[in-house]
Amino acid sequence: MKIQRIDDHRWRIERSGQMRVPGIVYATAAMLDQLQQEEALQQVANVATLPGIVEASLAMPDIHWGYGFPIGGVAAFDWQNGVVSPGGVGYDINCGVRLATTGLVYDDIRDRGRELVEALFRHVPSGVGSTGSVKLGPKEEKKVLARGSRWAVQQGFGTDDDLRHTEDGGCLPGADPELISARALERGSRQLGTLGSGNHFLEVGLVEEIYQPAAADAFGLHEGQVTVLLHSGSRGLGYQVCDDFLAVMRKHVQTLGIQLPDRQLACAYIQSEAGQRYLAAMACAANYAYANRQILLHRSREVFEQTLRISPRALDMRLVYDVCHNIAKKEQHLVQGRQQWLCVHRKGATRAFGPGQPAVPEDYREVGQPILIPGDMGTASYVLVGTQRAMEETFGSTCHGAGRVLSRKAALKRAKGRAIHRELEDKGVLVRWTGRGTLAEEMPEAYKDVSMVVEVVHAAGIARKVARLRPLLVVKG
Amino acid sequence: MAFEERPFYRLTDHTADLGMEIFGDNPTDLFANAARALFAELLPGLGSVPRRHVHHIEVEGADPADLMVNWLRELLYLFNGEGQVLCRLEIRELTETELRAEVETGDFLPERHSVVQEIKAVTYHRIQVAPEGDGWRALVVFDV
Repeated sequence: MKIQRIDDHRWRIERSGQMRVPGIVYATAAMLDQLQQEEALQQVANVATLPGIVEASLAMPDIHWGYGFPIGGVAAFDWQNGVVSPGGVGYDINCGVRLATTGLVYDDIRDRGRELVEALFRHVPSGVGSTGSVKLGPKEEKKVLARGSRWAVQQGFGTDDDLRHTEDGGCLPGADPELISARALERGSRQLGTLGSGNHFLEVGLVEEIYQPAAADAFGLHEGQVTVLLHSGSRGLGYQVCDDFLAVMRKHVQTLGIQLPDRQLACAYIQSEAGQRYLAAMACAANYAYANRQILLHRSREVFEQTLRISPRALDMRLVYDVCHNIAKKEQHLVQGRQQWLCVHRKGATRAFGPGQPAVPEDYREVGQPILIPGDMGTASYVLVGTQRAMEETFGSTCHGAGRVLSRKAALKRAKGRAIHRELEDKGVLVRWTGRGTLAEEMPEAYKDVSMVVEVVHAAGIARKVARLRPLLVVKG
Repeated sequence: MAFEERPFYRLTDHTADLGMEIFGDNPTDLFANAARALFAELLPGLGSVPRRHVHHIEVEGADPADLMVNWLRELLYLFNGEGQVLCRLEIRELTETELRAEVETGDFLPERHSVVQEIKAVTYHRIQVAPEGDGWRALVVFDV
């Protein structure tokens, strides 16, 4: 594999073999060195072999190897002649992050931290196979799949302002619940309004530093403010949808005569029946995830109000934005001087639309869309803003998080004999968790330094730093 | 302990998922061991669970590797979708592209059983099923 330096933060994987376009990786020289020990770069090249891919197979600086497509991968396919691949979206369809601000400052919760984290842990179901927040009959579940956050708000779990500040308004169009298998419906019936396990979390934090006042103002962020950050997805339903369609496409792709370098890249032409069915099913799972995060936000509001005994007005918990980082979307972008409809796959990558884009909420349109980048539970998370450069270079996309550096096994080994929760407490972070191994597996050392990832996208200009958040209270599944 | 049985599976280290190497004397043994390995990782030290349900499972695949993925998917759904844990299984018929099995399960009780390793999906990543030495070996990567 031949890799050429473009500039300090960009590297080109030259076309070779079956590649239709080159690969472009956003990284520092040191990150690239590290990457060459993994399969991730080969996966960037593999994606470049798929029919209809335009410009380049892209990788963000938090790239690590995934199934088929790398995590941190962005690839756009021509809407008429290109393919869609469930492996380019990932298992947890519309896994994403939402951030809310509050009218509170650190002093308002300083002595109530333990009480708050306990209450959040009790009222926001988390952990493996967690159930119980909202139970759904099949008819109601299909409404969730069709309407997403709109359904949740209609049920009283939030406000119209929440919808305005959610990507796609909290409802990805084109969802067809009739395409969802009985198995997926079964798994979805008990898990709405639950966090799940693994790297999913709910975090109460503090705005520690503002880098770009104009964007921070537009987003309603100011130093010293208490925030709530949520990371969750479409739970078992999304997994089942991905699994169902991987099996379908694995068979389907054999009829197309497309040579795949990896079975997990199974795909279908967007315009084929199989492609359209996947997109309509994927939209259902995406909507489930939007509704899920909307309910989680609502639960957080309730817990704050009840625990601190304050009114909704005093709490003033406003949704800044909700972004998805595992999705395929129909978008129009400028390709070699002309507007073209594309299917943009973002797998572990966030949309980063710049100023003036109609898809960005009106009150943010002048500055660009908010981008939410969670770090590990001991360090920091970031708010960034989308840029025109991202529109030109990355189909309006940027990184999504830190990415693991230790395997779960290695993390468990490293944590042996240590009390991770005490170490976090010493850093000023109170944590409550469910799973036996969760805390060790998810300890800060298990992740790359999110700041380094953010510095790369900032320096490359495909997003700009707006604010840094410091975690105070963390609930883990 | 010179005659200790060879372990029927072992884990391989991956950054963000779970790789598993499974061994068997013959293909039928291999497919049965893969099912046992899946539940052994999900719920180690489960002990005996009262048998409650019998499932007749039939899966197809384009080749033995595809068949292995589809077989493990069915078993994983029993747990993730229906809250069932494996008690006993018998593979009734196995070809390169088809498998028929009878699987007995019991109820997973969250208050009594604890999931140590959540397994979310069976992937095609690096999937292998092939003879090795005088036996058979499979490599499966699970999303966790």
